Amino acid sequence: MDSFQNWDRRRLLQLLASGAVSAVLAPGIGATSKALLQKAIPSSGATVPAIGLGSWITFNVGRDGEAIRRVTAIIRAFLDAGGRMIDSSPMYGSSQATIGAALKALGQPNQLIAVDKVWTDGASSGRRQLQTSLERWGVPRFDLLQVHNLVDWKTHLPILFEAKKRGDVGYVGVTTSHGRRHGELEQIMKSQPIDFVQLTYNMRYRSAERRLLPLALERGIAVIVNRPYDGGRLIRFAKKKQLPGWVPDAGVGSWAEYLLKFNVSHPAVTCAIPATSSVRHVKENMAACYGGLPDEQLRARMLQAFKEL
Amino acid sequence: MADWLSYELIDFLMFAPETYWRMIELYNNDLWPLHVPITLMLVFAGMMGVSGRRRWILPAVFALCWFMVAVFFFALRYSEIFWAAGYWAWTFALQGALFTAIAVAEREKTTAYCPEARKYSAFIVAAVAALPLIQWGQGASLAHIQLTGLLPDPTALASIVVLFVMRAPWWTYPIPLAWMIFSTLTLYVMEDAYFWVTPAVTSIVITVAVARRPSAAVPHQPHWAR
Repeated sequence: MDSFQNWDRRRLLQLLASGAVSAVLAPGIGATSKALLQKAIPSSGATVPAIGLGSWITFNVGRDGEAIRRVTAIIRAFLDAGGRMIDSSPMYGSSQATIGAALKALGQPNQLIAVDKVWTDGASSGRRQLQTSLERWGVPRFDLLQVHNLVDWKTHLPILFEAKKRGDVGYVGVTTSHGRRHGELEQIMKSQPIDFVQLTYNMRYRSAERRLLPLALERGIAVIVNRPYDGGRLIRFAKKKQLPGWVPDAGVGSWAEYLLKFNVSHPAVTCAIPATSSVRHVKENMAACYGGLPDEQLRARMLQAFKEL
Repeated sequence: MADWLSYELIDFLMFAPETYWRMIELYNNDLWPLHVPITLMLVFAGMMGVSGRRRWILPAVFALCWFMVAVFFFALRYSEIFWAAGYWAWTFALQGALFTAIAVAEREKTTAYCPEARKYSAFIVAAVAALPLIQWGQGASLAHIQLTGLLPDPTALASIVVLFVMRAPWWTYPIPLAWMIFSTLTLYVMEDAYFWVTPAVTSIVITVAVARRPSAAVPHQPHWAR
């Protein structure tokens, strides 16, 4: 029977040796229970938890104090569950400022992996925007900076690479979404020494499997998956259906885990960043960061079962 | 080109519907009790009508309304959650400048006199009150009711009526009409049940305004010569 527990032992040892997957016991969980899933960043070997937190729309709440407190609770729950990577962008309205307010309320948690983007034309505009972003987050530096939707990447990437050399940023990447501009993204992946790409990959949008994900593996580029629920459509659709009977036996307790584990079980994927406006949902999402991952056979079965819903 | 074709309207919505309505609520709460003098000012301007030497008051008041919405709503509030709001702030300021130009032009027409236009003061006041009353009838809370001079939808709607009644030049219409379209699409994408109300009311008032528009101004006649 397909099972998360039926690891190919040789494959597991290879993965562990390469640092691609490491099981780190989360605080408070015993040795025999599920361990936090972490994936390696190919360019450095450092690991990140396989589930992060996006902020598109959900954290764009303006000056609503009540909503900002709710977001603070979401981020607290995310970090408490072992999460580290939070992604945002100047395009996301007040999301950066909301994150900054939350981090301040939480005492600037040091396990945070701060990920942001540059989204503008021109070098000087980009520099100003990055400075503003740092101020909004209230962090001294970003761990990863990405060129959002490839906007003026030819201008921004060299600047970001210089910043990386100086130590002002840990990693450099680019992003697209909704399956757009994959041709251009492929060219960038082949020609630029980027550490990360961020793209859309989920049970509905799987075009990245054809070229981009294999290319990321080949080039040693980490992959962040955005829109793992296709903007919420997949999870809302799935939750109206019963989980297939065999799924709990395979170690998956919810549709959130089902969809997220499918994403992050692809060997090229480093981290998925679902966004949410609910503490309950962030806990559901983080449950996918524990336990095993489906192998290729089980992934195929999960995909087929989802298509048949 | 193929990329642009892949975009849907929903891709341009940068915020959750609840965030939008909460913004309106907080905005109204923060500006209260400014609603009272603004409404009184609009009623006064409407009653002044489009007649005689006071004809300039109405466009001057509407100029102020467009400037207020540009600054208070778009620049200082909506731009917090929507990056394009800054562009709308400038656009609304431009419309305020156009209304100012109309007011200045009317101020100089000291001999303008429209005997029929006074009948339509109530009509202009009704246009100002239309959207807020409809929203109240739909069960909107006071904090969610949108008033001319503070929020763009009723301001644009009332402005279109005023422009028609005053026989304003064609170049004063594109901005309020563009906003009506934009706002309708925004509410539609937000799956707001009443997204159709503003365009419906706008269409009705335009139809009535076209049918009942006062005749062109005639040179002022001293009372003893009438």
